[in-house]
Amino acid sequence: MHDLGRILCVALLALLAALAAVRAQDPETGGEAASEEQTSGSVTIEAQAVDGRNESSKLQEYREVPNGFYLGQFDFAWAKKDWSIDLEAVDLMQDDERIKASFGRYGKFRIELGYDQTPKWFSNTARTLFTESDEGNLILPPPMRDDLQALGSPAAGPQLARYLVGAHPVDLRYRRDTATVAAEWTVKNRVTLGGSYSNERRDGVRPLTLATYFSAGDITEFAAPVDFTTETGAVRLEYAGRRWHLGGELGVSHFSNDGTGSADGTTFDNAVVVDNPLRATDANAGSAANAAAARFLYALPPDNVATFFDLTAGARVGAWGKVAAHVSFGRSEQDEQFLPFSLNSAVPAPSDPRGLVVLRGNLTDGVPVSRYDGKVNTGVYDLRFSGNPLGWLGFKVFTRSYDYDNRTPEYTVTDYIRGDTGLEGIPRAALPFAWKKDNHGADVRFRPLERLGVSVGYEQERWDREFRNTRESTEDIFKAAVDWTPAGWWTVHASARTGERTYDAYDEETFFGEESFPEGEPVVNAVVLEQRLFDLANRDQLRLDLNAEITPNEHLGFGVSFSDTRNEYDDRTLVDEAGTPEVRDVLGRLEDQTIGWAVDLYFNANESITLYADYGIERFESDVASRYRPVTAGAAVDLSENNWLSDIEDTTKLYGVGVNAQLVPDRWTLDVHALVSDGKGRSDATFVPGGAAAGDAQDFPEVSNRLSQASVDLRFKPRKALTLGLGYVYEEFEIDDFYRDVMQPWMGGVDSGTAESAFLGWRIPSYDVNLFRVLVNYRF
Amino acid sequence: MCRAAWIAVHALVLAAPLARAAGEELAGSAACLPCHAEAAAALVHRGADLADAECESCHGPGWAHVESGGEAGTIRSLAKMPAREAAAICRECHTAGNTVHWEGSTHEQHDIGCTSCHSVHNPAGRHPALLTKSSIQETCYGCHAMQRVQMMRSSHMPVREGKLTCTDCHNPHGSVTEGLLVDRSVNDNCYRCHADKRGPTLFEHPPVRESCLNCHNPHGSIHESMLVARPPRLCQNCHINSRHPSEPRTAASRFVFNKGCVNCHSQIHGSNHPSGIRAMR
Repeated sequence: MHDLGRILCVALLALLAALAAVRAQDPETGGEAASEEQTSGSVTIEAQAVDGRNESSKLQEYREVPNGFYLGQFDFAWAKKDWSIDLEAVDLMQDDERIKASFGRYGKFRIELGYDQTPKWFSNTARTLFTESDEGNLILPPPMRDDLQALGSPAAGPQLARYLVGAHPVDLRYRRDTATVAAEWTVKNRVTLGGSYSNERRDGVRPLTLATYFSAGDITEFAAPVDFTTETGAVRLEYAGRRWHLGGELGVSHFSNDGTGSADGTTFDNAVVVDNPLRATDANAGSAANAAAARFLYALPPDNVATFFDLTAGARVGAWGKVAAHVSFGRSEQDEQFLPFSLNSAVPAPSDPRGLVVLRGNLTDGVPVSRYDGKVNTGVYDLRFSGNPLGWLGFKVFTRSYDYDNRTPEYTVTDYIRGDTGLEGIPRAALPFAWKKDNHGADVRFRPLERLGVSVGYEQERWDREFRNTRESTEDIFKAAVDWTPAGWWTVHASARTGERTYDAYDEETFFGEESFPEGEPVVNAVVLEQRLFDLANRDQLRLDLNAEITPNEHLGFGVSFSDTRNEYDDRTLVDEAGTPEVRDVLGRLEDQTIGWAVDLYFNANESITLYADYGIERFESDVASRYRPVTAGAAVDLSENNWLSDIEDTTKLYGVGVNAQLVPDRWTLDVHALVSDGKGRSDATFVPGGAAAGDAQDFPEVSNRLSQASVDLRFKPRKALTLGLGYVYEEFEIDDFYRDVMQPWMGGVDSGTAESAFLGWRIPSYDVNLFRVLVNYRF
Repeated sequence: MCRAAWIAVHALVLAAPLARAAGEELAGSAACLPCHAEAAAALVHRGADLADAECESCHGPGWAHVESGGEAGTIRSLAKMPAREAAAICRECHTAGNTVHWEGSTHEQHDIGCTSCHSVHNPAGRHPALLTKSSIQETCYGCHAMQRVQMMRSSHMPVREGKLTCTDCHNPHGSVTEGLLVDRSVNDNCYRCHADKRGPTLFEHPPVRESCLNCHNPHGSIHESMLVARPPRLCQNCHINSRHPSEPRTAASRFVFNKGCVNCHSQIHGSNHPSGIRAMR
């Protein structure tokens, strides 16, 4: 599909380019007929030399940086009366190529074709001992596994390190290839029928990790296959008149994961089978050192299908208002067969006479099932009425609802095998989380002056949730805004918004009895009564925004933006079991703030030279209160002196400056640009003095990454249709990231707890490159 | 529809009611060209969509303007009109497709009009939407300067590489979703490219299912995977029950380096594995 689409597009490009060239040279077409045609296009051939530290995957994360000749860009446009053809190709035959083509008759129809390749490169420093077998399994040399099993823990660790020295490189990357076709047909005046289809392939590998032996925390990281296809199609019909409109759209999206694993002659869809580096034979928990499975069965994303139907209608009310309504029904389904609980044959049968199964329903009277039968209905309605009945008065009234109605049955797992090592002994519930969000509100806008608008509004947002700690929450939101254009050369937009969210009740132990993740642990992991999850907690929010653009004359422009959003999760007054308010320590996110401002400036020194500069800074900060809860005699110990606080602060700054100059009008141009994007992240942790694990509360090293770019682009037009270019780009990416920089296949030297773990050791190195570029652009 | 009929529609249907209201008469485009040839030529160069339009389709009856010798104020100038009034003229034709939710939208409510972003006479780049700036991103950054800062962060979607634009996720002409998203919810928007996360799955992670924004910043982050913070701190916003989640941890720890908590709990978006209760399979 993709190769065919690509070949068709390229062939079409070539054909039309040839046709255009022939017509340009054919004296027979120089008469009246040709004058009705407009044919134009351009082709840019570039040559680039790359110099410097260019080995980092980050340089080509989403693009190819070619070294040598390449077709940088090609476009072609043809029009005759109402008919037109447009073609555009960028970076043809490169990893990030993009081709677009369209053909149509204005007012009648249009067909669009597209093809796009987007690489995604995680890292090119990874190394692994795994090889992929024909069956899609990730396998290891049997002698190595025999050797490590025989050594057992802890001797296997140093030996694993020696094996990992010989790990072979693996590029962690995939590519997303998307082919699209869309068509639109004007059935009759203002009635349009359209359709679209896209086929997206993702092919490659990505890094995944799994815990191989839970109690020891051993980790195996592997290059997991990415073999995804997503097909999306839609048809729509619309009438859009001057007084009213009505439209409907029906769409479907099908995700298919072609990744399979196999074991002992059985194939498992949407899964990968991974050899255990430490064992060649199965063992039950506690029966041997490093007891675990010889192979792990890891679930990959399951196939799923989503369908939707949208209906939109609207009508103008007099000359001053409009009523619009939108309803949408959707359904997401996933019905994959369940994988086995484990490939570990040494795990004994559970005591439950029904065996180790997934039950549809509860533990006592559930029915064993082999497929998921997941289905979610989504429903949306939106109704709004807006208008300006008086010149100085406008309004908007709206109501909106989004319903994530999960119709998947409740399941109970009679038991499960943790980390492929052994039965856990706890039945678990898999609950169909569902939620519904309703927004209702109204805005009133006053216009005391022609170019001054003042608006105030109120909105209420309600959440209803199933199977979470809060069932209902309500947020009252008040809004105000000023939009002022005192003169044509300056505008100001300022807005403020404040919201207060409260829940009806917060049940910390909602699922304690239902054994659902993450709650439901037996005594040692009992829930923390003082904790409030930040996405559910009571919250006070304040948001301020300001944007001003000032252009006093044609030579000078100036803009400034400011944004500040603060959230305070204020749950200091909690309610005890008797409903009595009490003040306790509150754990969880306490507050966060995102604040930033930016300025930009341009100056036209004369008709030939424009100078510009911009600067922006944004800072995100959050405070989270936690508690270290050591386990003593099987119970978690709650002591307020074991509370600790984490303080996160991320700051990003962007500097930019440049000049565009016409050195010789219509002949020589020069563009010079430089920017620096500087990001820093701080993560501190503070313990209450005397806390039980104070030594464990350390400030993490600062994370920093900085992108610097400088470019010079000189263009010369010896002829009207010909442009020659000379360019230079310096690009530097400096990253200091302790989370990633430390990574090697064997991490036992950093954390002894990983002495028997095998990582990919993928890193993202810094780079700095010099790109020298020449180009020839010809317009026809 | 043939060209002549199309012109007639624009001239008569659009301009005629205005002419009746003002008691003015049409002058025809030919009367405009002697003075505004450059503006007309710019239109012609922008393809068939506007090449056939009569000047008075947008600028209204021009006879008074011609008679006055081009006196300012005798004809509509969209560039000098309040944005909402200029938008009303564009909306005479552009009512279909992704513009149906314009009335009452955030931009419309704050006096951002069509001419704030589009220029039919002097578009800055070659984008078919006739933008005032060279690209969609630059057009949006004109007001949303903080997004320019965010998009340049190290962990980002391929916007600056030209593979995505703001309008892949947002509809500036209005939508029924918060943030002017093109799809019906935050997650539905994300599933357009990340359908592998759509599920549902046997074991779900509720905050994931409610909003991807609980953990990710789609405009960019200094942390991998566009996370709003790095594990374990990100996870410790919610998971402090006991045992290993409740400890702050040191930097040289498998609970911190590489993917932190996700080193083991790698099915954080949901698992369909019967043994995947802890997001580990």
